Amino acid sequence: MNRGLLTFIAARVVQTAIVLLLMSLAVYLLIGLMPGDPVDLMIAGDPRLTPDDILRLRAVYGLDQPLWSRYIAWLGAALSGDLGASRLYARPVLDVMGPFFLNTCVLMSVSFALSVIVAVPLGVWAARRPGSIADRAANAFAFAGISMPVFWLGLVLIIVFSVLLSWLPASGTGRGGGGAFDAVRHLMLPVITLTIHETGVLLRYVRSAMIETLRQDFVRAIRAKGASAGWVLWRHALPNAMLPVITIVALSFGGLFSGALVTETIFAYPGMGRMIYDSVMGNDFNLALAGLLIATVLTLAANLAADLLYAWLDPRIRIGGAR
Amino acid sequence: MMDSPPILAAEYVTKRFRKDSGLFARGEDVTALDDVGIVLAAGETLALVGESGSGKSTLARVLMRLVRADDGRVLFRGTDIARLRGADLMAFRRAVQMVFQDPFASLNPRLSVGRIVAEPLAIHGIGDRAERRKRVAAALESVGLAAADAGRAPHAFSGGQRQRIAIARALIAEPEAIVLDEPMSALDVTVQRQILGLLNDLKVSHRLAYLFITHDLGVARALADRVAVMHRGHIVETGAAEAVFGSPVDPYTARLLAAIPVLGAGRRTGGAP
Amino acid sequence: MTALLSVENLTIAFRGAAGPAVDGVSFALERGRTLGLVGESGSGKSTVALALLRLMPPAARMRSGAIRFDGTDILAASETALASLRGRRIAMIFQEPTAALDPVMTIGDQIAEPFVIHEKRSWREARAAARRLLERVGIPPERATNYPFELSGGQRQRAMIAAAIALKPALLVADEPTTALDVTVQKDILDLLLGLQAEIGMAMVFISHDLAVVSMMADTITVMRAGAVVEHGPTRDIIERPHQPYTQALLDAARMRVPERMAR
Repeated sequence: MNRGLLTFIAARVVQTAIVLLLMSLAVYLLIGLMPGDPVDLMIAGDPRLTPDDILRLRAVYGLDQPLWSRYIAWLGAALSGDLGASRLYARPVLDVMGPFFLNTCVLMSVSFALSVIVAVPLGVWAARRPGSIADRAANAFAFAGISMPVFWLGLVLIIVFSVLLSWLPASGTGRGGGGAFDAVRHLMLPVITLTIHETGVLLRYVRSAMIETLRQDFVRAIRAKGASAGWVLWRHALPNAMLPVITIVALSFGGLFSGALVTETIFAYPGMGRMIYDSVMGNDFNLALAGLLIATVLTLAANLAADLLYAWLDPRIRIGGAR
Repeated sequence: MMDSPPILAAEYVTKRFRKDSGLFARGEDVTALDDVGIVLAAGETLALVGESGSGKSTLARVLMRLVRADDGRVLFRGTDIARLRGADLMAFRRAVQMVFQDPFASLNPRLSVGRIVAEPLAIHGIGDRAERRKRVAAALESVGLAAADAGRAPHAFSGGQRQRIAIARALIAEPEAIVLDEPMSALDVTVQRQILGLLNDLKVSHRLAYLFITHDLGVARALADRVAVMHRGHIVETGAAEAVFGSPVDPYTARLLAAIPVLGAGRRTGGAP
Repeated sequence: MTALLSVENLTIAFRGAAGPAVDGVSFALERGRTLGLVGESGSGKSTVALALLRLMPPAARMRSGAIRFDGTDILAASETALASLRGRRIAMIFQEPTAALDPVMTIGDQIAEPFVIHEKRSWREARAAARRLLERVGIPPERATNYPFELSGGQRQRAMIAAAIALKPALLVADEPTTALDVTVQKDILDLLLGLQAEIGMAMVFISHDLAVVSMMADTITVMRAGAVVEHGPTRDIIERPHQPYTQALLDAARMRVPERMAR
């Protein structure tokens, strides 16, 4: 590892820390500015509470303090590693997050992998002859995927596959007794929902990157060496085209996460998205913050990974010093 | 020796660049110009000859104050151009104009030819609308185009014609000197001859000094009074054109001259007869 | 003796364009000889060059004519048959080496590629052969692991030449190979091409707008303008006794480029 690389990564880490700080402040303020607070929810749930009880509860939860001092208190604890306890689950935040995080990871990685497996070959194939029937079909498919709102698609799939056909379950993870096959069955609809959208987006990028690359002069020069169309496509065009695609894919990571969030809500899938949603609605500051911060860290990490990957794959950046 | 100071004079000009560094690597320094000195007197044509990487384009930019030198200075009529401000700076910009290499990139495709050619007048606040229109017409005619061409868009013209437009634009503010950076490299050979002829005529009729940058020695010889040969940031030889081409002193100049393809008759070496 | 390459009445038009880009062009080339194709921009010379390997852009339409290479009808051949010829029996080098080399593949691999494609050799063998070729064209073999951007313009052109002559083709089509190079580098590249031609015994179609350069390389010259052949003949005849005014104009332009009274 050379100095340049270390400096680069160090700068990124510092940037990430700053972003996290600003994000936490913004989120804390936004939640705090929502009308109502946890105690109001308790009052709504238990009419026997007296005004004295309410005052005492407010003091216990620190809700009698102004917002900014509560934020400072949280920040202080967070920086020393204590993210606090979740009010909704009455357990430390990190304990609660674990299973949710795992579920979302499964959903996102399966969707991502599937969308890459489908979109890349399809995009390459469509780019071979722009304007052909194959290309137009692929384009139509991509546009459909991009245009359909994730929540709408999820609901439609539920109606078709769960209600009308009763083939697949509409919610949950199927853990606890169902076995691996059952878990897969529960995953199928959420994954399909998310994948269709992702594939559409990715397909468009791969196709246009490939078309652009195939237009370059060097492609003709390689054909002049007697390379078959397939050789040119897979050994020369694709490596060149994938460079910009990788960056775009990493940048869309954030979008994938928010798509997962919606999907989880529709399918009552117990992932990070649902967890964040529930905690915001339930005024559970600690849990909401922890969840959103993790999401931010992951998105920024994905961007960093993309930059490093791009730099490593493109020799012009890796080696530098163009003549 | 002239009474008035030369239009442009470069003294000990040095310019370094940081080479393109990779994402993780550091770039090295490249010395584009090393202690370079040249002089352009009023009314003379100086050809700056060199191959790629010689620094000739960088020198042109330094002389035009488009790039700042790290060391040394450039004098316009005896005054350091780095010190010019306000009206003096405008006077310098008006007196020394430039014509660029690529006729397709140097004309704004969204403006009409008339507006392109009139732009220097607008910048220097010369004349009113009617006056400018007259001058534009005169400028276009002096480069061999028609006054009516002012209303058309650049893309309607060929490369050679576009270069004529660029020359008209350079002439319109009545400069003393024009710096031409490879103005003919992008043109067909037959067109090159025409433009060369045009430049020669204009030189006399408008009493211009030219700083003509080129890699093509034939073109340099056709037009130049004096020649400066550049190699890797240094000026290796300067002198009257006939002297440099006829009996070069520097070995690099000799090599350059020897490399020029001669209009021979048949293949030189190798191959079956 | 049958000519190695014969082009008969070739007419090519681009979809949407007014007139043909190539209009009834004919010429022939014997084994081991060099034909110089001279013209300015828009003359159609590059389109002819690409047609010889049938690598024209999709918008090009072959209206009429025939191209015969060593008995094969280029225009009627299947894509597989053509792919077998390209790079092995007919090779091509281009004007801009930056636009002819894959930017993310090492030059060693790109020179080794023809061996892998046509002779089905392993990459190890091919790379070894590539290193020998690098040496032959004047690039230190250690640079095989460099990428195109790490080389100078002249070196990139040499690398491209190495890949083209790797399988000792019978015909090399050179489309303005030195136009983008400095004059001193140009001289070296031209010498290299002549030397390789003598070694391999290949024929060459040398395309350029520079009559002076062509006159040094070619046995016969074909002058093109606006898609049609203006004049054709042995180099000496064309240079000393041109018939057409356009040819004369090109000669005048070429002569202007030579500083007279050069040191001998």
